[in-house]
Parts: sequence; structure tokens; C-alpha cells
Amino acid sequence: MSAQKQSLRAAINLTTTNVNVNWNAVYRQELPRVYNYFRYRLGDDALAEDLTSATFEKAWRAREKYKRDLAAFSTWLFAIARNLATDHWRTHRAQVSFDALEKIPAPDSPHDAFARQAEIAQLGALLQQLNEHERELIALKYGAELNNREIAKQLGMSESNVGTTLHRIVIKLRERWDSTIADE
Amino acid sequence: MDDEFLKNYQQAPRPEFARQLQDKLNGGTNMLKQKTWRHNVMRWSPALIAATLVLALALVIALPPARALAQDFLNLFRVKKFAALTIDPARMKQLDNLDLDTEKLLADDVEILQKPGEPTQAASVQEASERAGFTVAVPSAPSNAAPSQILVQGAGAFVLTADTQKLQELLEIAGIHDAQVPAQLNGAKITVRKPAAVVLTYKLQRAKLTLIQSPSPEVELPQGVELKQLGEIGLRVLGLSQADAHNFAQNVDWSSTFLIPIPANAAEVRQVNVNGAEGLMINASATAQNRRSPYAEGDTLILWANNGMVYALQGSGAATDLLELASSVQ
Repeated sequence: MSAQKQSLRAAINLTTTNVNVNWNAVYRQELPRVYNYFRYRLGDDALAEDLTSATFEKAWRAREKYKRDLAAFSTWLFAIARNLATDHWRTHRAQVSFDALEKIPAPDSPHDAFARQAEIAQLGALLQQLNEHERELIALKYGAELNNREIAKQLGMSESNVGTTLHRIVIKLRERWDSTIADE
Repeated sequence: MDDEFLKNYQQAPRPEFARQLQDKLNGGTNMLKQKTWRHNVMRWSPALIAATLVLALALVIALPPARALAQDFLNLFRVKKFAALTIDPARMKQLDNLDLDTEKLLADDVEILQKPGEPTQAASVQEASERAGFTVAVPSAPSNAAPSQILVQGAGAFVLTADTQKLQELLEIAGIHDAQVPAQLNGAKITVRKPAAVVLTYKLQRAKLTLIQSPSPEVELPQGVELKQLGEIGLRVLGLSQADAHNFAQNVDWSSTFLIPIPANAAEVRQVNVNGAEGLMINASATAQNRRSPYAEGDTLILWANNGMVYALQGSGAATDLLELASSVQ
């Protein structure tokens, strides 16, 4: 059983007659995953916060329906997140150019924190170069931390196709990443 | 596949953002519940009395335990008066956060004796009286106004079998660790009977009025079940301290007083006199944050009981007008 599922299970208090869900625990479990999904998907921290809020507010209203199946709740949560991301991307794609590139600080900063910030910005810039489908796959894999089976379910693809496509994208990004590092 | 570099893009949400969103979600839940509370109170019906009674007693009642007691019901609850119990909104929020599914929790313990069915329309007050089995009273004040809708809700009844262990668990979940559910209550059967009810709706020029009336619901309790004892536990669940709950419980006539818990910041409540009967006026617009006279205009509900009947009049006009209307009901 994955750590994530163990954690979700821990959020449920099962009794013989009832299922009590600690929704605060579910929130703490899911928040970083949803937030990072949006960051990988859209590359903007402030926007990620806005859409994360929208996702949880929408999901929270009907969460009781999922109290007996938190795995389904998680699936549903990311279905909402994906819809919001897709809507946003379609509406604003003209403006999402390569803002992240402009945020790349000078690489010669002596401070580790600054170096880390630069690395994040460079990764963000690389993600911006992916097409929408590729970015969605990366966001679900590394932002939401879904496994290939869960991603396949979300996207209506086969699990093997998810694995193959992700492998290809990662190889491509790795090459570009190495190239970026070499240029520095 | 070396993909570690991609994981470096992960970032924890800002603590401030995480906290604010969580507060918003919890607050939203609370607001939703308050809306539900207000909606329920404003749509109050004798049916709801029974349901609420069960919920109120449920925390109390479900508690009861495993040995079938004598089946002769010596204790009988009938509504003769209403009383408001102001509770701390923070406590309500705590209870909300428990996410207790009381209905589901008690599902195995409830036996339906009579289903009330869906409300049905009646063509006239007279027809409603015949179908409900009592003479339907009407307000005289909107003298020329006929009800725009008349609904009759059938009678219903059910038996709840008390489960001490379950109630004790509920108390623990609710954070009450120093109250003990009396073991002798286990298996006690509590019967709730809700007579038929009639709902009259008036659409006036400036307001909509709803008058609900029904013979008092009844709760039959087996010999040995002390309403006072159960009530005291219920008060603890609602957030009263041990001493306050005990004192309050000693001063309430549990056999005839229907307690309505009201969050302190959600409404203003005052006792009113309706044709000689002691009633309760709840003005949902006069919140603690926006304290106004209970006579200000807003959603208002007046509850009173008279001669074995219970009444609820709800309207959106001036509270003084509503009180006048309530007094004219006969």
C-alpha cells in the first residue's frame, strides 16, 4: 500500500456503524498535491494558489458523498483541478508565454536559496516549452504525484501509453536540462 | 529514468495560504450550516420538531443501552412551551467539524412505525382540516387574503432503541469525557409520534407568510428514563459546562419544554406573548454583528403552543406585524 493511501486510510475512523472522516487530515494530505499540480501545469505560484482554492471550495461542498471512498474523492478532486487548469489554459494561453524565463535570477548568486530559486525558475521555463498534453502528464506525475495507473484513469489513456509517453517527455526535458546546466 | 531533477520543482504551499484556505473551507462549512440552520428554523414544522427532538434526544437517547426496560411508557413529552438555548458558535463549529452522520449512525436503531409521506395540497382550509384531523386555525389579520397554498403533511411515528455504548462513543467523539451515560438506559425504546400538520402560505403585497400548525408531537419514554438526566448530557454536548448544564437541567420542565439551540451570533431571540401563550420570537436578521431591534424587518419566526397545538409563523415583514398576525390565529 502506498504511503499516500496509508495516509488517507489514517484519515478515516471506521466503526461498525459509521465512517467518520477527518477532513482536515484529508485537506493536509491533498493540498500540496493539488497546489503542485497547478504549479507544474501553469508555472505560476499565485495562479496555483487561486486555482487550488477554487478546486477545494468546489470539492468541499460535496465531500460527504465521498466519505466512504476517499480514493474516489481524490480522483474527483483532480478531475476538478484538471478542468480548472484546462479552462484557464484555454482562456489565457496567449499570455502564458515564457514569463518564467524572465524570473530566472542571475545564476552566479552565492546564496543557496537564491540558487534553488534559479533552479526552480529554470525548470519552470523548461516546462513552459512542453505542449499542453505533455505538461498535463508531467503535472499529474510530479505535481500531483499520481502513479501511471491513476494518470491513465484521469486521461483515458492506457497505463502503458502513459508510461511510454512520460518516459519520452522526461528524456527530452533531461536533455534540455543538462544543456542548460552545461551552458552555465 | 533519471527524473529527480523534475521533483525539484515541487514546493510546499505557503503556510499562510494553507491556513487561510483551511479557515475558508471550515468557515464555509460553518456558514453553510448556519444557512441550513436558519433555513430549517425558518421552515420549521411540527415534523421538524419531532426530527429535531430525535436529534436532540439522539445525542442523549442513542446513548441509552442494552436491556429492554418495561414497555409501559410512563414518561411522556409534549410541547407546551418553547425555550431558546444560546450556544457558543465555536462549539457549533466544533460539532460541525466532527462530520457526524447522525442519520446514518442511528439507522440501525430506528424502526419506522408510520411514514408521514410527502405533503399534499388541499383545495381549502376545510378540506385540510378534514384530512389532518383537527380544525385548522387561520390568521385573521390578512383579512381578505386566502392562502396561496395549503399543504397537509401526514402523521408519522418511529421507535428509537437506545444504545448506551454508541452514545458513550458519541460523547467521547464530542469531547465530553466526564459524563457517563446511565447503563440502565441500554435498550430503552423511545417512541416519537408526529401528528399530521398543515402548512398555510400567504403571499401578501410586501411579505410572504407561512403558518404551520399541528397537534403537539409526543415522545414516549419507558419507565426509568430520566429526561432531566438525558437533557443534562445533551446540554454538555451543546457546550455547557458541567455546572451550567446541571443548573440549567434542574430548572427546565423537560416534559413540556422544547429547547431550541441557537448560535449566539446567528439570531436574536426574545420571549413573546401570543394570545396568552408564551412564545419565542427568533429574528435571524438581528445578528450579534449587526445588532438591531428584534422588531426590525427581517426573517422572523414565532413559535408558540396553545391547547395541545403547536404553531410556527414565519415571515419577512416587520416583526411587530408578524406578532400581531400570530396573535390573530384562531
